[in-house]
Amino acid sequence: MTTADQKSNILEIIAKAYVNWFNAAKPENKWTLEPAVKYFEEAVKAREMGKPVVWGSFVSQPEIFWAMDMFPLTMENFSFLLALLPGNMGHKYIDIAERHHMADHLCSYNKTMMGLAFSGDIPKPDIIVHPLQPCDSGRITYSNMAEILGVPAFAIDIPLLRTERGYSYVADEFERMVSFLEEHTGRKLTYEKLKEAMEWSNRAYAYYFKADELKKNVPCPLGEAFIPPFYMAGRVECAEYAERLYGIGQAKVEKGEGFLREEKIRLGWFSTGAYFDMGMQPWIRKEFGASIVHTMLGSYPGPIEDISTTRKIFEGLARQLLELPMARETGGLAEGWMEYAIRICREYKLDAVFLTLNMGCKNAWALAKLLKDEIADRVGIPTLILEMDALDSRVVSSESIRSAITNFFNTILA
Amino acid sequence: MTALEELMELSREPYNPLVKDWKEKGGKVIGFVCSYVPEEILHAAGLLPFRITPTGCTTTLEADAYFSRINCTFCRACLQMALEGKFGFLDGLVGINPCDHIRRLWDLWRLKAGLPFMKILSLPHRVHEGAVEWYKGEIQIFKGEVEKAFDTQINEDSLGKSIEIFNTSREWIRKLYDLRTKENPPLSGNEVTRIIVALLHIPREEGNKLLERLLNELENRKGISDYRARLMVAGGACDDPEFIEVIEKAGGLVVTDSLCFGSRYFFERVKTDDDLLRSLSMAYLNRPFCAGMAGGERNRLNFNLEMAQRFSVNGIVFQKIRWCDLWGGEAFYLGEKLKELGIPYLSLEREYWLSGQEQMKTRVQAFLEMIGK
Repeated sequence: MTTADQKSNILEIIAKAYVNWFNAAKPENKWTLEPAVKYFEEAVKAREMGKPVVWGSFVSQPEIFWAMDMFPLTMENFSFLLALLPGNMGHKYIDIAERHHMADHLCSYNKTMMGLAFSGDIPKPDIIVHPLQPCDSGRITYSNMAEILGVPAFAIDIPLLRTERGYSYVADEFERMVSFLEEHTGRKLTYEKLKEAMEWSNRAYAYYFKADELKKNVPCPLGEAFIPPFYMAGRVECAEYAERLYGIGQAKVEKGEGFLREEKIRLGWFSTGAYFDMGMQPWIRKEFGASIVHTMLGSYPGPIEDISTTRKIFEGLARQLLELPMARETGGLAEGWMEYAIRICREYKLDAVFLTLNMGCKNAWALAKLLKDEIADRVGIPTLILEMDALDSRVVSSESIRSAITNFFNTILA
Repeated sequence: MTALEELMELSREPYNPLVKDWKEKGGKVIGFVCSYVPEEILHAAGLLPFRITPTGCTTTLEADAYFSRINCTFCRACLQMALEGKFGFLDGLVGINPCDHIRRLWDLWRLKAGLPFMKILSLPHRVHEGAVEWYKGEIQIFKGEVEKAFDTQINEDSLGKSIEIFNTSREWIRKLYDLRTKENPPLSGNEVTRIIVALLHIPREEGNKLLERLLNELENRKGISDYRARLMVAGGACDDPEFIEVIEKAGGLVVTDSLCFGSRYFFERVKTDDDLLRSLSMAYLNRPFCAGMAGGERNRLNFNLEMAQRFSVNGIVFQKIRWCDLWGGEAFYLGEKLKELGIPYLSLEREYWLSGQEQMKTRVQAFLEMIGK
């Protein structure tokens, strides 16, 4: 068992954790963990295999890195996984970051990754690549991290509005990014390799999208996806996982079955959750018969239509980048999130919405009231707004969160 | 009244007599919150660009129904005053997205208060050639929107003249700052902050006349000698002269800054010998960077060091408004670097409105003692 006191290579710790989870999983569930087990085994060996390691954010796309035979690590993913490990290893790294005078009000995802960088418990990357979305905290953390570690970094600039001009600008940014990567790694991006990665990525996104569409059915046939595409898209395992997930969902729909035996409430979770308590979602399902039909981080855009040239791929990636989870909601102006939220409430036939807003999430907090009112006025369903931290259990305890959720459900079910 | 007295007076209330006079004569006033908005476009259209400062706001009860407690009090104060109708004299607002808080201020102001003309620019968050072209495009679109909304034409000639007027301000402010390099500067930091705030709230032609008069008057003004240390103030938006006064009452004389209500706003001249829209984009983006510009740590550090050396400062006081992630990151980075370089550094976190003055004064005094002053 790994604990907060161990000083070790975090890559190895996470890789071992996944193996342990895999070994402990029921035979019928092991397939959900296989892609991550393989990914982290490779992550541990990436340097040894001569692959440049690139740190990036979860609101980005890894296909170009796979195509250039690099190894992408999504730093927020580490922040998330550390919070799951016994003793909440994330706390150690948050404290390290704050001891180094990192602002305490930055997002705990970013504090964890910065603390990890300071601690030396993870090998330094060769390059950092980060899109300048979805928030200030991420923007400044990656920028600071690159400077502190002395690592070359490329920031993909993101325009405010979703316009053709904006998409073209981001596509240009991808071209600049590739030049940067080629200069700093000596590797070349070829269309053939990129196309191959995109074909697998498109397959994954197509099945994720279709699986998500299945959740519009009553009862909802699926729970959460375990393997998000933000670090896996472009790998065969991700596409196979998404296809299998869709198949399970489709089979349930054909039989008229739901993920839950009895679905009493259809819930939309329009924010990050309390990830330090992974028992919370199963508890919500069991205690209240609530299907978590839609989550912010569990719903993905569709595949890219045109992969006929490198430029077309960049243009497609540009559109997709701005529609990735969290960027889709909190990027741009208020209407973007409001209209998206209303559409989801209607199409997924929701009964209630959670906005369990992370303490670091300034721009989401500024819209919470508007969103709640808009949902109430136009859809007629209630929203629970709850202050908490997604990773740091010391900010608001699991018990407090569960208590607030209980009160909310008791009120709406009464 | 001396020019200094006039400027001090004009800085007290945003809706000052010159703005009232402008309005009474049928002029339109367009507000903006961030220094990246190209004021010259508004000026060339015959409008009065007005940098919004929620001066005098000390509570945000109504605004906090929308914003949360973890949002910047500068933005909350702006929204509060908008909801109260205190910015009712504005005929429009130009939005921009330097940070999440200001982006959401735009949303909330637009949806909950509103003004007749409201347009937003998409600011790049990384400075490179592509960004200069992008922002040039944004400025071009904005120019068209202004022309259409106010039934006017902004041509090369009118824009060129406006740029020259604003360049004149930049030149006068540089000269003003040059005076502060003296061992006994003729102005305190409090006074300079008031001068700049006043300039941002009046027709620029009037401001330039006042600046020219002021520079003449200052030739005969006795320099300040009663101070313990020469300080530089750096950080995020700071339009509050009383905050600077707290530092100065503790014995530190603020002789320079790296602020967007100060040197970072005024120092870059806009070229007029080339494509004017591109020149605007180049100048605005290539000023010493805001913390919102990714990869700008070294740019800001170098600027801070250059200013500290040029103005012979004994220490740097960094300030930021609570909950500001971008300047929070900068506080961390700058602190690490200045420590390595052995430059005395004090980091203060504050709310937009002045509070905890005695604690702040104590911290500044302790800082001065620590640096042996």
